[in-house]
Amino acid sequence: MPNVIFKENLHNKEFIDKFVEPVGFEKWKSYVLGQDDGIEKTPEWAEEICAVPAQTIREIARLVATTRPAWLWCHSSLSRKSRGEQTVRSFSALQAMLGYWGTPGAGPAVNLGPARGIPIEANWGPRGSYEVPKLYRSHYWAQAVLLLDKVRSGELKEEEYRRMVGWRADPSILKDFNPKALLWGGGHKPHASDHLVTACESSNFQVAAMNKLEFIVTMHSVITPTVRYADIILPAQDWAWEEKGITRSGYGGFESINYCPGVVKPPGEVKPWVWVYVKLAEKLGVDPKKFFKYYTSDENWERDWERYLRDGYQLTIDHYKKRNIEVPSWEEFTAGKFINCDEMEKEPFTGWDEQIKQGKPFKTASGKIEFSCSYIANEENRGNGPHFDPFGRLYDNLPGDWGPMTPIPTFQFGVRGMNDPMVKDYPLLMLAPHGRYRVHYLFFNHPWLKDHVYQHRVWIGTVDAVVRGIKDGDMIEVFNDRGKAIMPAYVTSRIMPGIVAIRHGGWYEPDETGADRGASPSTLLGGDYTSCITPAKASNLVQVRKIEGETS
Amino acid sequence: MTQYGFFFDQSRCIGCNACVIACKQWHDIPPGPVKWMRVYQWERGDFPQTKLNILAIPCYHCENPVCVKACPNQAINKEEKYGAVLVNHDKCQGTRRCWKACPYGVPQYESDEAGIKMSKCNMCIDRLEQGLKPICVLSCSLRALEFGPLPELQSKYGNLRRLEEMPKDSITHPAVVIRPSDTKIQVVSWDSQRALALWQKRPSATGELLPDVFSTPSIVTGTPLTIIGRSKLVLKAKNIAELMYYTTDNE
Repeated sequence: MPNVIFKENLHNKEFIDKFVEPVGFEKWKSYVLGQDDGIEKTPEWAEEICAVPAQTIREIARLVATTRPAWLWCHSSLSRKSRGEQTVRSFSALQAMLGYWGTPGAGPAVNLGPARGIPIEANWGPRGSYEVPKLYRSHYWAQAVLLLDKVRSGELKEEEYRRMVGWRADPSILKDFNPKALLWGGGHKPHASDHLVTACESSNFQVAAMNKLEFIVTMHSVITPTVRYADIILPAQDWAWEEKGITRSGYGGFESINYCPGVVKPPGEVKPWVWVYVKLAEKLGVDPKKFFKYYTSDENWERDWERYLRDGYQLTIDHYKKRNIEVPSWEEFTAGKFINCDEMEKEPFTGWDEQIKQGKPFKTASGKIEFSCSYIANEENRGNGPHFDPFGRLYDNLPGDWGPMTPIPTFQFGVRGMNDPMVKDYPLLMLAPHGRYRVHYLFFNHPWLKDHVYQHRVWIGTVDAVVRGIKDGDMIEVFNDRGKAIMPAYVTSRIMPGIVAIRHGGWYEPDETGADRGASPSTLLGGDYTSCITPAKASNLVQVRKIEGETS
Repeated sequence: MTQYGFFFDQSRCIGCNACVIACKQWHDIPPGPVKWMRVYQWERGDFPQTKLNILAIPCYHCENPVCVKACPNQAINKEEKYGAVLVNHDKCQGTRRCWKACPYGVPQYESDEAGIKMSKCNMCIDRLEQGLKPICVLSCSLRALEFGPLPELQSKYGNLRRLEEMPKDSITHPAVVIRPSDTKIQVVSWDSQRALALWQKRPSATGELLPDVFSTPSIVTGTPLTIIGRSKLVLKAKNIAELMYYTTDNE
């Protein structure tokens, strides 16, 4: 599409002159026109890769460039396949060259997060001086544990190990690295607290790594596939249903602020997660008020917690008061009146409005939209430099495994994708998208959902089913070099030939043969150690076979 | 009597089942086969030209309710104020005559056992009496459902009372107005045969020759319907297993 737009002179030169950093823009243009590598990125070049006929690509490019404004929605989910982050980056670039950033009804259309910057959380108390050292990328913790023996035996070079686990600390620390315990606290985000077995790649690796450790502590109110392996479970409430709290929902243009009244009574000894940390602090001999300044005593917990929430809500009231906007009082808010942030504004929210309309610099080195990211281009930053999110908050350090991330968005074939020679053994590409009936793994055990309004099945296209003798409802085994899962087939024309899909977040249930009967796609994920930005990849190559004598 | 009814906008429904859950929660029905509100999905066409149809269906509280006449025990009546078709549990003997008569598969049973009593959508008449809308309508975040006096719905949305795949409405006169989903409009040219031919061949990341994705485009489009999941609308399931099969989404 950019190729067509350049060749037909449809890009927005005025916008580019004003807002786009020129050197990087020229690099991108020369890549698209094939001046740097001799391969022009024409629709004919693209059609062989994506199977969208060149004529269609050409017409879409013209349609998008001449329909002003055009809304192109690209969600971060595309980055969940190997090299998919390049697609997401290209989308932002495409819309910048058309001048759609900061335009109502258009814009870079990627997940902006709660972008209005409305404060909802009161200050907990002074922060301690201790900074947790970051050794490796946490998504690769299992590899960090399992591959260590190979480093010690000399089978794996230290340098290779550091690259594989995204090591970001001083390399000299590695010789003393000897993990014994795992403290996995999802805390107030239980949807994140089972990321090990049901969302990190290779459930079998996760379990093997946990089995190597001496001591495991987790935090949850439900016995999930990860919690099963814990020595101690800290029983924490679910923030959305069991706990009183203030929550912000929606992203960018659809923001609201809501009160969670604690609609479900927590079971057994389940406690608020902050209370759990308060008690841990006490047991460690630390004054819990240093962690949570509102704490007075266990008897007063309800009142203390409400004071904290009320202070947090006051920040929201003050934020709007400064702009002469009245919002519900605390009493009205807790009685169910929520804040629809869109209704509070005269104008609809537009991403990067401030930069485009008011001339505020972008948070890049040049202050402009960088088609070539100077930060990534600087090799000295690799494994060192701080990495900020679009709102200037410290996000992470640029990891050592940034690998093939290029300063400009470029096309790269995915590792373990449709075009990897591994297709000779595993010819189907498995995708693991999020389903609409749960948040990650949460609610997979919910009796009103699974097998009641939906079935957890592997989607397989008609042609791939026919050649394997599979019909709808047959039990099939999905397998690769990472593991195997057994589940019923959903045979459909709604998926492309050569692709299968298993929704993310199934619960790992290995049978005596090691086959995952809960059918978590995580069992089949992994094996690509050149991850670029997104470590939680959700695609891999697999093979499928029918299991005779079993029905769903 | 003013006949009240439902409006279903197929172009808005995404088949999320929120109405099914909300209905069960309001009426205190446990998870399982008793679904006063049902959501069906059925696919049509061959890859890459496919269409997914969705229908969320409660009881249509017909103007001519054939179930009422079919019941040998006078257990079903048409209520006066809203025209709701209601079942009296004390009178119901579980003969399933109503099930045989109803073209929409509305009567619901806890099991396949003979003699088990029937239950069905009651238009949330308890809520209507409080000035509230039926819970399924309220739970629909896509606003694919509406409820009100049938003449009002007809003047707003027309008088289409069925989708192509649904039974004829000439005898029962269901109190429903349906807006079918829109037909696709081609805004750019797209040659589906060329797309398939391109998809068949895969370029290699390494230059090594790789096997095709499928052997020939004709096997992609010539799939027998019998191997596909939910390729038709089956409103009247033979048994509970079949009901659950046709009213569950695949994710």
